[in-house]
Amino acid sequence: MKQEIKVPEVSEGVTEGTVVDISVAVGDAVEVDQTLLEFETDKAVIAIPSPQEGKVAEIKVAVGDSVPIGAVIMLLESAASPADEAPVPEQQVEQEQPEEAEKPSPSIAEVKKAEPLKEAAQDEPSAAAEQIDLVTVRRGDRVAPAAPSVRRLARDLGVDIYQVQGTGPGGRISEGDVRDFVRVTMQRITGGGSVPAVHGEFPGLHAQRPLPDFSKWGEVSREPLSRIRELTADAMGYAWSTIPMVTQYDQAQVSEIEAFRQEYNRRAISENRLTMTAILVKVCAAALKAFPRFNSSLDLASKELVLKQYIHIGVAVDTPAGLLVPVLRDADRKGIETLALELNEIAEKTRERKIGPDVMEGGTFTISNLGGVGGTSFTPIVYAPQVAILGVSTATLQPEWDGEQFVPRLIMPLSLTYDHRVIDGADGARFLRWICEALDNPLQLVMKG
Amino acid sequence: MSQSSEIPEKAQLVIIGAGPGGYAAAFRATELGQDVTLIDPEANPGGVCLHRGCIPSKALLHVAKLVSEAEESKEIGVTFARPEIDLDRVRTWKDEVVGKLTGGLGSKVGKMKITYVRGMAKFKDARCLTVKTTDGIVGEMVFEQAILATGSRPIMLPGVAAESERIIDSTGALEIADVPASLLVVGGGYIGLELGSVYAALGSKVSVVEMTDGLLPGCDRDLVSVLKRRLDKKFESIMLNTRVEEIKEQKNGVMVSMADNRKETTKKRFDKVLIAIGRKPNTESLGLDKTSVKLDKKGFVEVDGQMRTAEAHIFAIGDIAGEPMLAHKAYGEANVAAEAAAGRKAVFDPRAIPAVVFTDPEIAWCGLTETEARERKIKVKTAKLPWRGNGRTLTLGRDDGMTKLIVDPETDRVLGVAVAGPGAGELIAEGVLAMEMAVVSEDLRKSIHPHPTLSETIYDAAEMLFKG
Repeated sequence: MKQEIKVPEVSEGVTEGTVVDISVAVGDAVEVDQTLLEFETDKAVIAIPSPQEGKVAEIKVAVGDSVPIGAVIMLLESAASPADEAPVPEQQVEQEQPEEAEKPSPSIAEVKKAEPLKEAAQDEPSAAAEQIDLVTVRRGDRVAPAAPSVRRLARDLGVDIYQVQGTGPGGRISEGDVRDFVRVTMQRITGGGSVPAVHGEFPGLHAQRPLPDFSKWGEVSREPLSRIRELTADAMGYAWSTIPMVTQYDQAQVSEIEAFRQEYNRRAISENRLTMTAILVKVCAAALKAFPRFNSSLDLASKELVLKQYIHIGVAVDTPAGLLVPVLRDADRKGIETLALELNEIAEKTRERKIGPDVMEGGTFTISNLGGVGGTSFTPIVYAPQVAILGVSTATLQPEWDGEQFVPRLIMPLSLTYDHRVIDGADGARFLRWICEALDNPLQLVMKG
Repeated sequence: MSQSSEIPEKAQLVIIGAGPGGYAAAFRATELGQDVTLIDPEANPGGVCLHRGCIPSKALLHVAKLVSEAEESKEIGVTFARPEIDLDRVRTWKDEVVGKLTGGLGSKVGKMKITYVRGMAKFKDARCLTVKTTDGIVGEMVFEQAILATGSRPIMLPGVAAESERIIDSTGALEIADVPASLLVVGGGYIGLELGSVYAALGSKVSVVEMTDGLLPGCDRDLVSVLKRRLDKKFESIMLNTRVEEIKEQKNGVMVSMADNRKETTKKRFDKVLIAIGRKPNTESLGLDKTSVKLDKKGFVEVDGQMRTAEAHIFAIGDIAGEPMLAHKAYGEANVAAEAAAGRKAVFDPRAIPAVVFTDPEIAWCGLTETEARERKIKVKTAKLPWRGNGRTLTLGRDDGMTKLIVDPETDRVLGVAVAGPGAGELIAEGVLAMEMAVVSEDLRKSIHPHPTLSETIYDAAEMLFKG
């Protein structure tokens, strides 16, 4: 038996990805769990392991191919039945042919090539996260019970009509059923609230104006946007163009905390080294408890503020491929030691791009620490749908007048950018001050947190 | 029309074959902005359907209908003299009908600025064709996309000379060179029965020999029996379960030896023999071996839901793309292929493809048949309404006919519609619409049908299923 290796479901809402590396060749013997290929989705590279021992019979994709979740990527000949090398009976070939044989996921390749409105297919919200199927031959009672115009509408919207439940007599699928399917699926993906138009903007290209011909002024080269860059461009562009943001600056006196940190690290091994970021995660978690509006999201469509009863803090991690933001769960319920350990582990995995997209979902607040790089201050951009983000710059020794003399103090510049629709200026200032005071006097955490 | 005297070097979309599939694809693709080159050996588009199939046979069946109605009108008090048949005039009229239609298509091709190359094409490789015009010019044409629509041709019995005047196929029969005193039709399918009916009306003694145990294999038996009752009167004999063992052309006729299922062999002499045992797709001369296009076991080109072959830029439609080999299926596929070629997300997913046998009475069906439901073990509920009680049937001087609805017993959704009787071919269109719209029988029952018409039989059949 040849076993089909399919792209597994990696995370809710992830519908497709790009093959970035194929680790095996046709004819290779593979073991259980050996990596067959690497697959880049929204924000992670996922290694697809072999489910069993066997031999690679066929590879249906190439590096760079865009492949939907669920598509067959390889055929594996199980080690147990070498007899299957015998020519495949004709009938079997026939059955496979209209599906996938020969052409790796032909439907997508074709749709993309030929269809100018491809965002419809890309934004495709279907639950099973598959591209619509234009390949399968269906006739008669195997065709969905919907009028031809409704079937065409579904194709245009990128909806697999075979997933739509008809509400009409005898299960007939109406135009309304197809539109409802799109609405419900979009709601599930966007977490309810406003329903974006199905034909939305192309991600990452908000308000792109025609570009000049750069080559007029000298030589240029072009490189494709990585998936991370594309998503970052989209997220940042969306945030910048929709959120009125204010940045509040302040300085925290961290001499004592830094001394404690260095003392602690003298005894620590690399895994549990305490970083300033880990301390900041804890301080911010406490601050968010004290100021719940900073832990919210704005739902304008239903005119509500969504207040989250959990505190998940995202930490921006600089990786060779671009900025990624893994999330530390329930930061308010964990000690600094635990947070430090988790943060070190997660940051390491992120740099190696070995974390799943789910680790990067669900953050309620973000910290971007550029202290290790340098600089006196910067304005971070809110990571929608969050409402605030803390930027951290390099701490420097500065003289401070203590009333009698100048004393050296380690001063860390902080910048808080917040969504001014949700947070007023005075609250922004208070929140950041709270953080600074907690850093200056950590006892505050216990007193108030 | 704008026939190209030379072979264009390049084509954005080349369509090989200008039958119903080919010309429909050419028109649709042109509408969608494609630059189309259409290649066919005939002077005008039309293919087998117009030149040697649907259209000429229906013209002749009209003649047959006039003859038999004149004959039967004695029953209702109108007696005509025995009809005189001017065979040359009949043939000319039939050719005029064909000429009008194909000429009309030709001028539409011209108006739409489609490049029409009269000739044959063959793949040099998957991106280039070798084209030979009927004037003998040979050239090469590079194309971006292609649609294959080369149709099908009648199958001859093995060992029979193709050029025979007494042993003919459907093409020869439609020429009506003469009206033989006796005609044997080999094959009880729709082509044999339609052409047999024509010759019977023109005065031939027609016999039919069929290998299986019934006429129109695949069609539900209750429908066939409506037809057979009448054909038994019109035809000399209908021999079922009988195999043609040998056909020998002699000076004054054709000697045919036939064996029935008890292996008893009989020999009979006929003036002419019509071979109507099926059709096969025209794929051999296309040079498909120069491409990756694949054929299935029956010789049809394998296609996907968009009518794409294994070469994604080459489509195949119509008879070469599989059963049923019907012009209206080709039309449907043509539109899908043309739209897909123009980048649209079209899919060929008919819920029903109607089949019509233009005998008298006609038989037509679409969707699921009872035969298929039994084979596939699908539970169905049926309503069968004989036409005896229908006002319009009786006022036409007829009492034979039946309308059948096949529905899902749980959802009441219509799964199949079948009609036997005069005008069945027109009535089935309502069934096709019902199937495509996924109606339940209540929808048919609550649509007001005009009275008195044969279409009321659909309404009445739906009422048999309707409760509440």
